[in-house]
Amino acid sequence: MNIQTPPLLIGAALLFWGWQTGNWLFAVPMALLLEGSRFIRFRWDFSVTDFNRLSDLCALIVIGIVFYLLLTERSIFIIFILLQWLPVAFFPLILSQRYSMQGRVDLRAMSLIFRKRDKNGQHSLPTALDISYPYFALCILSAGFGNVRSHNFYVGMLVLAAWALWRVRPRHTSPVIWALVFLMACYGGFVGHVGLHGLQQFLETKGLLWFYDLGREDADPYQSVTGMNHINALKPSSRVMFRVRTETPLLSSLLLREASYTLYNDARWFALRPVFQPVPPELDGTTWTFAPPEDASSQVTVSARLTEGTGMLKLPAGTVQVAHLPVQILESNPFGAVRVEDGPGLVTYRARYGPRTPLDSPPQPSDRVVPEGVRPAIAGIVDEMELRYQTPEKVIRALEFYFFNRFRYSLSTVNRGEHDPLVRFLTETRSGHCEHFASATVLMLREAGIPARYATGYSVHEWNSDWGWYLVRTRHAHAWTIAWVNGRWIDVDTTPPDWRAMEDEAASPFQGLMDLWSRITFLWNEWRWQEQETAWTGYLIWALVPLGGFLLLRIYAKRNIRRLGKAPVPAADRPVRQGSDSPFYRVETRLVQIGFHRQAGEPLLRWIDRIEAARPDEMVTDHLRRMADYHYRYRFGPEGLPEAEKKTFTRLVEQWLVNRKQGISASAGATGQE
Amino acid sequence: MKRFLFYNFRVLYAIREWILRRFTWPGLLILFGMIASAVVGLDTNRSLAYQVFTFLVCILVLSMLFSLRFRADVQVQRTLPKFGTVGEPLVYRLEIVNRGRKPLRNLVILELPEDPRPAYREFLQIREPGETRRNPFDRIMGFYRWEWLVSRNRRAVFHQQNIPVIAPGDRQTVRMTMTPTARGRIRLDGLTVARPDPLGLFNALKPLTAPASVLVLPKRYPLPGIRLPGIRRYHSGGVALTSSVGDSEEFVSLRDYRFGDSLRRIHWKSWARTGKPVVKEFQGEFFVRYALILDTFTAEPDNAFEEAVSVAASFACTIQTQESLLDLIFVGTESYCFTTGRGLGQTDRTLEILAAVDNCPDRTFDELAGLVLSRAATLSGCVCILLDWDPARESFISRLRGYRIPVLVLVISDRSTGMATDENIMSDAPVHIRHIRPGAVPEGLAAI
Repeated sequence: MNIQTPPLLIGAALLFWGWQTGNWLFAVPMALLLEGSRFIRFRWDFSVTDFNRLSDLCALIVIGIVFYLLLTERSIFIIFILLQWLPVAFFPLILSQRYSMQGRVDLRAMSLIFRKRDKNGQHSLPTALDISYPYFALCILSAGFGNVRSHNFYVGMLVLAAWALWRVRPRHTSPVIWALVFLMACYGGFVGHVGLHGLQQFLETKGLLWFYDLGREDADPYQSVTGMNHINALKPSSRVMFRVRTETPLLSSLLLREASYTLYNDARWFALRPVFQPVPPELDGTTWTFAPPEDASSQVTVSARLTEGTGMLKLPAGTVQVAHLPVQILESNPFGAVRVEDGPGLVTYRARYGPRTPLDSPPQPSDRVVPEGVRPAIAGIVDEMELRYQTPEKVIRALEFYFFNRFRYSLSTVNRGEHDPLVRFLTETRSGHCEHFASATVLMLREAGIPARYATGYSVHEWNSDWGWYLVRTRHAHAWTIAWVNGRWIDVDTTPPDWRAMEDEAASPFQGLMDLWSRITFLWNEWRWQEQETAWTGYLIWALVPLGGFLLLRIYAKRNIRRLGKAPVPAADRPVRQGSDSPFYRVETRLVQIGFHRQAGEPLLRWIDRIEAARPDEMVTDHLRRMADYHYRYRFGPEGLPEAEKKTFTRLVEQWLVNRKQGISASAGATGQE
Repeated sequence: MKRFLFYNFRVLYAIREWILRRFTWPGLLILFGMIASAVVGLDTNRSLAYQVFTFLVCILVLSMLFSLRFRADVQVQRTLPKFGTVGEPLVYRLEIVNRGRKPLRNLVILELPEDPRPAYREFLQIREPGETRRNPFDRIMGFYRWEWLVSRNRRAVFHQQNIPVIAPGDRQTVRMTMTPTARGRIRLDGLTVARPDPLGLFNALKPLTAPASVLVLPKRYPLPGIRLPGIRRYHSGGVALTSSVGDSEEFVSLRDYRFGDSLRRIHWKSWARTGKPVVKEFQGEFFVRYALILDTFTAEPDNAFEEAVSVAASFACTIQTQESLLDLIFVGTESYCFTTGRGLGQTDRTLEILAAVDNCPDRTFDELAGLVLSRAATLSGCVCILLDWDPARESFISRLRGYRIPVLVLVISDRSTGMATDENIMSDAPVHIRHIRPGAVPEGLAAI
C-alpha cells in the first residue's frame, strides 16, 4: 500500500477527530505538524532501529494510557476511551513517516515476529508500508468514540471518505458513475445505521440484557436481577469499591442503599415508574438537600469513584442532605435512588441522615403486592406463623427469629426445579444468600399487611486501621428489606449475621495485593481530583515534554537530516526539444483515450498499422499516415517544417479531430460502443 | 485430528486467496475497517462506530454487486522463456486481444498458478526444515509446516499488471513479471482478468485458460577461477555419443601398412603420393574427467540442501567442459550419473537435472560412495558437495585420497558437528575441505 494520501486529508481527519472528541488541544498541533511536512524541505534518514524506537514509544503511550485509565476509571469500557486516544498514541509513527526520507515505515520496525526473526539471524526483506491510510481510518474510527449524537459525525465521515476514495478510484472510471455509487452507499449507510440503532433500542426495551451496561458497578435503578435463578457458586470479589468514615465507631454494620424496588417477578425486582427528578443544589453548588437538615442526627462520609463522572450514590436510610458533592446534576427517584452526572472521577461526600426518609415515597399499592406464583407458599408460612393482624414490630421480630433459626446462609445456590426459586428457598432448600432472605422477607411482610420494598446496596463493617477508613468491597454488596413502620421506612435485614464471616472466608488469597493496588488507585485519584477537572491534562503534557525531548535527542543527528529534492532548474536553462509542441500529440492522446495504447518503443507507423488492422474505416488511417509524416519531419528533420507546411499539418490535425468527434457521436449512436 | 486441521488449513487458504484476489488494497482497508468497526461499535449507545460500519458494509456490498456482471471477451497468449532462475525476476510477454465490441478499461491481469496446497499425504510426511526446534503446540498444529509447504509448492511470487485500454479488435502486449522462489517446474493453469468496480474496491474476475510451465534453475553463485588439478586418464573406447562417430581414438601418426591392419585405416592420399600403402595410427584416448558429487542424504529439504544444489549448479556452469568431461553424480530415487563435456550434452541439461533434484531421506551415503568409487579409475578430480561431516563421509574422502584423486570438499551445513574445517585432516593428500554455512555461501565460495 504505497499510494500517498491527497494533501491535507490526514490533517482534516485529525481535525475531525478533535472536533468529535473535543480534543482540539491535541488535534490542531498534530494536524499542523503533519501537514507542515509539505512545506518543510528537510527530512530525517531514519533507520529501521529508529523506527523500532518510535514504535516502542507508541506502545509505551498506549500502555501509559491504559495504566492511567486503569487507575482512574473502573469500568471495563476503558477500551472505548483508549480507542478514542489512539490517534495520539500512534502519532509519533505517522509523524516520523512524514518527515523521513523513505516516506514509509518498515514493517520490520513494528512487528515483533520480524524483530524475533532478525534476532535469530533470519534476516527478512524490507517491507515498507505507507501507514497514511490506516492512520486516516483510525482517526475516523476514534472520532466515533466522541459519541456526539448528531448527524455531524456521519456527514463529516462521508466527506472524508469521499475525499480518500476519489483519490484511489480506477483511472478510467466515469465521475458520474462514481458519484452515483458513492451516494447510494451514503444513503444505504444512513438507513442502515438508523435501523441498527433502532434495533438496539427495541431489544433493550424488550428487556434483553445483552446490551445492558454490564460493566457498571452501580445498581440499575429500574430493575435488579438477582442471583437466585442461577445454578452456581457465587465468587464475590475482594476489590475495594469505596470507603466510608463515620463520626463514631460502628457498633453494628451500616447499610448504604443504592436503590430499592417494588415489583417481584421470577427472581427479578423492578421499580414501578422510577422517574428521576432533578434536585437543585444549594448556593455553594455542592450541597444537595432533600429535607430540612435539622432532622439529621448522624453523618457519614463516603469516598467513591464515579465512572465517567456518573453513578449512583450510596446513602444511609433517612438521608436528608449530601454535602461536598461537586457534580452538575443530581436526580432522585421515588424509591430512594440518587443518581449523579457530570462529576469528577472520585467524590468524597458527606451524607447527613436522621429518622425521616424524605427520599422514599410513601407506600403505594404496588408495595403490598405478592405475586400469585409465590403467594400460596408465602401465605402458608405467614398463616403458620400467625403474623396477620400483628403489630409491625412483632412481625419483624418474628421474621428475624424465623430466618435466624430455620435457615442458613450459603454462597452456593442449587435451585433446580419447577417452582419459583423463592418458593424453593422457603419450602425446600432453606438455604440461600441475602437476595433470598430479602425477597422472602419483603413478600412475607406484605402478606402480613405491612408495605415493604426490596433494597440493594452495601454493608459497611470492615474497619481498616491502615487506611483509616471502613472498606467496602464487592463482596459486601447486600440486599435487605425496607418496611413501612409507624409512618417511615426502616431497614429490616433478616439475613443471618454470619454471612459477613462466610463472605470473608471466601476471600481471595491475593486480597493483600489487591488492597495495595486499590490503595494506590485511591491515592492517585485523590491527588488527581483535588484540583480542577482539566488540570491533569497540563500535568500530562508537561510529563510528555522530557519524553519527547529525549526521543528527539536520540534521533536527531546532523548526518541524518537531508534536504529534500534538488533546486528547480530555471526555465531558461531547460533544454528545448525540437518539435515538442507538435500538434500530432493531440491525435496520439485522443487515440489512447479511444483505446489504442501505444506500447513503449513502438514506432509510430507500426502503431498506425496496428490501428488500421483493428478498425480500418473509422480511423482514416491514410490521414493518420500523412500527419505522422509531417510529425516526423517537424520533430526530427534538421530544418523542421516550413511555416506553410506547419499550418497544413495543424489544419490536418484539427480536421482529423473534428471528424473523429463526429465519428464518435455517429458510432456511439449506432453501436453504443463509446 | 491431523485431517481436521488439514482441511481447516485448506479452507482458510482458499478464503485468504479469495480475499486477496477479490479485494483491491483500498478494498482490503475497508474490509478491515468494517470488521474493526463491527467489533468496537457493537453497542450503538456508546460510540458512533456503528455508523462507520453500516457505511462500509453498504459500500462493499455495492462494489460486490458491480462484480456480478463482467463479460470481458479477451484472448491471451503468453510467451514464456524456457528457463528462469531462483531469485531472479522472470519477465515475459503477454499478448491480449480484445475480441469484444467495447473497449476494455481499468483491467488488471494476474497469473493463476497451479493450486499450491499440499495433498494430505504430503502434509503428513514432509517435515518443515527446523520443525524439530518448534514448540510442541506448533508441531502438533502443523500450521508452519502447512505454510512452508504452500510457499514451496507455489515456487514463485507473481506480480499483477495493469492492462492499458484496449480498443475493440485491438491487441496489447504487456510485460509480466514473476520472481521464482524455488527451483523446479512452475506450472501455470491460466490467467485471471480482474476489473475493479467504479469505486476501486472489489474485483470482478474472469479466469482464462492458458496452461504453461517454466523450469526454474537453481540459484548460481559466482565462483573464483577454479583450476582443478589432476591428470588425464585413459578411457577405454573413448566416449560414446561424442562428436566423433565410432572409435573416437586420438590420431597419432602415419606408418606403413602391416598385414592385418584394418582397411578402414588406410590413408589413401599418402598411398597415392608414396605409392605404397600407408595407414593412420591411433592411440587410446586420455581425458580429463571431473566428478561433481552432490550429497542428497538429508532428512529434510532444508536450506543447506538447497544451497548445496545451488553450489553444484555454480560448479556445473563454471567448469569448462570443452576439453574435459564433467560427471554429475548423486542419488535420488535411484543412482544417477550425467556426463557433459566434449560435445556430450550441454550445461543447460545439467542445470535442468539439478533443478529437479530431491533430497534422499531413506538411503545411506554408502550408496553414493560406491557409485563414485566404481568410477574412480577414470576420474581426474572430484568436487564433493556434502551436507554433513560424519564417519561415512570421512571414510569416502579417505578412499578417494587412496586413488590419489585431487578432491575439493565443500561441507554445507549450519551445524559444527565437530568437524575440523581444515586441510590438516588430509594434509598429506591433495584434498581441500571447506565448511560453508548456508547463510554465507558467496563468502565461503570466494575463499576457495
